Amino acid sequence: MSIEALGFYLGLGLFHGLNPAMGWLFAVALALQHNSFSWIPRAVGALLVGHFLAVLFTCGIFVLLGKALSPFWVKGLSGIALFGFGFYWLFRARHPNWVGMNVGIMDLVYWSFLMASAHGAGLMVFAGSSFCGKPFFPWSMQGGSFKLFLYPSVVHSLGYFLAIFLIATVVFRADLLQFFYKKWINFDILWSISLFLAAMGIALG
Amino acid sequence: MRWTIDPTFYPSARVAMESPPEKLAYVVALNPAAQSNGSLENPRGDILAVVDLDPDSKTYGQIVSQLEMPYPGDELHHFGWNACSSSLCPQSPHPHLERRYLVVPGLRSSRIYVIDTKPNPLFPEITKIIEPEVLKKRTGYSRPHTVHCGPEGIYVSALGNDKGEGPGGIFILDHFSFDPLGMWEIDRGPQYYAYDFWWHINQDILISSEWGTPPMVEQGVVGSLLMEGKYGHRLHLWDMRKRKHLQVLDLGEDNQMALELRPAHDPRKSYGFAGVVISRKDLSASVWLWFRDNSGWQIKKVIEIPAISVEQEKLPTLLKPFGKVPPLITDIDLSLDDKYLYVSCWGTGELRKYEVADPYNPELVGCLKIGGIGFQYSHPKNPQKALNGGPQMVEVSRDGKRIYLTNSLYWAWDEQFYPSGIEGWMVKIQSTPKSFEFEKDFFIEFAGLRPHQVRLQGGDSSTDSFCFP
Repeated sequence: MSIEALGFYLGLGLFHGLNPAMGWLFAVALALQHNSFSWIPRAVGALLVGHFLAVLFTCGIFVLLGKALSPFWVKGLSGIALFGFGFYWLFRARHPNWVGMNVGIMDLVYWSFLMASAHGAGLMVFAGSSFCGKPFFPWSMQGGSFKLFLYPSVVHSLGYFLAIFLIATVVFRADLLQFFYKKWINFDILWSISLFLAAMGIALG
Repeated sequence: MRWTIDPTFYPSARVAMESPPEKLAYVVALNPAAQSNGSLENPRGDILAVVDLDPDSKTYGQIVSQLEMPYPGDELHHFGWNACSSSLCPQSPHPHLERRYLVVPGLRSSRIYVIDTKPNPLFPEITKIIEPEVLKKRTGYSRPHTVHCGPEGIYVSALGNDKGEGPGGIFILDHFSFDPLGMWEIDRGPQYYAYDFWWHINQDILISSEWGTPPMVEQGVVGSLLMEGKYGHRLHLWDMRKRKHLQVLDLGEDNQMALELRPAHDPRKSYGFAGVVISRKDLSASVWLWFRDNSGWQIKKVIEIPAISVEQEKLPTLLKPFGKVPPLITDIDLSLDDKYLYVSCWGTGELRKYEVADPYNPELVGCLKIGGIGFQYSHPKNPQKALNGGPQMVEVSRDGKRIYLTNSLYWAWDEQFYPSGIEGWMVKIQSTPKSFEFEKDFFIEFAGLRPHQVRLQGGDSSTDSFCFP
């Protein structure tokens, strides 16, 4: 994996983790509710698994599609999907109502999986291939293999993990919530912009 | 859509208490002429009044504008914000919604108004009307009552079903479009009567209370039903995630009409207070504590207020046989620090202040008198004037230092308990750990109208739910 690619996937992971809607705030809330720091690593672990699976799943689908369809179609489909998610988060942002606050580890894995999927996290990772010097994805690779979508997913999830673990720990330990919540910029808009950029990246790539 | 967070969303009650004092109140008021005289040629609608609460303003303590509803006879009663601090809850965060629209149901008409306060907070405007037919068709409910901004939609309770009978329940409005999305319950178990509801948001527990079906309340209290113990006397616990009934907490048939529910604001605590209007045994009123201990959810009476004997000629027909005025606890409100509980005794004209830091043993620390059946206590602004109606809807400011109080209950019940008619008023009370007194110059008269619930700009002690302790 090239250094640019490594940086891209890691950076995208950090960006995903920064969004309070992607998990760190949930970890802080659970630790506060149970009045115990042990909920931070526990929740972060569960969120990481869910996020990783979502990204792996989406990348996997497109890699497999790449075996069946021509690159033109794969690019087209992923581009359309990215634009679709972008418009959704800009104009019709809805959040799930299938999870409450009284949750266990499996609930968190499920929640994280659904949030990452619904936010098009995996699609962004997939689209990243056209930003990076050496694309990973099927339209430029011969054969394709498991590694193709495993590596980006792993590197990306590592970035995500670092971000949520660090932020959740600091916010909980230093009681920063009061300060932090006022700085909560609108990630739905940032997210849409990223999705549009990714879509354009694919279109031009 | 906002780039930054709505400054009136607070992660915790602690943070909310430090927010700046409220500058405006929105107060709904009933137009009794539209109820008592159906043949009026030009019946007027109920109103939403905007009251100036900024002591530095020239119009402080006055009604600065009135928005009249386009239809007469809605009976505006309780209402709430489209969004509040629950938008910060981490499982479905919506921090860039705005606390902007008031969702105002007509309890009698089943019509719901969505009123925009943003373009000009002093002159709010109606932006959407949900007609009764639409509400009934889409949710199966009528007589909408309590409004709470939930983490993923606006929850509204309803006294009756689409036929105007039982069961009542809860429905959801979409918090972007305000379209009624449907019935909330998936499994209502033995629940039949409805009234108020709220939740322990971090424990996924919703709790609901019981009044009666529309025919039991809309023409006034039915004495025979009351004496037979037929009004609601149970609380219901629900699983919020599964929308499923979990448990009944029964107060016993003697305790009639379990109305307002005030769970602790701290999401780590598992208790709350419920006001009970009247006991059929001795006309006393009571406040009950629900709580969770090792053996599960329990309920226990923690406050009892006895009825007071009064000469018969001062009593309305309904009460003459008893020779007593019942306290009639019609509203209670808990300060955001969970330390003080304010209890309205609409019958005896008392507003009581209890210290509830130990919720199992409330301690009476203050009592103010105004109005009341047979008492007609006056207000310090005009000590000569006898007032009618009594302390009813009570709203506590976010910092807990100011209390706002209005005097009308519900049209048909106003007529029974205060047959000479209620002249609407709103008063302000200063409350500190040491003092509890009326602000002498704050006395707002609602000429010909009857004010009910008060909502403070930026949130108050009975609107917001917090996911962080």
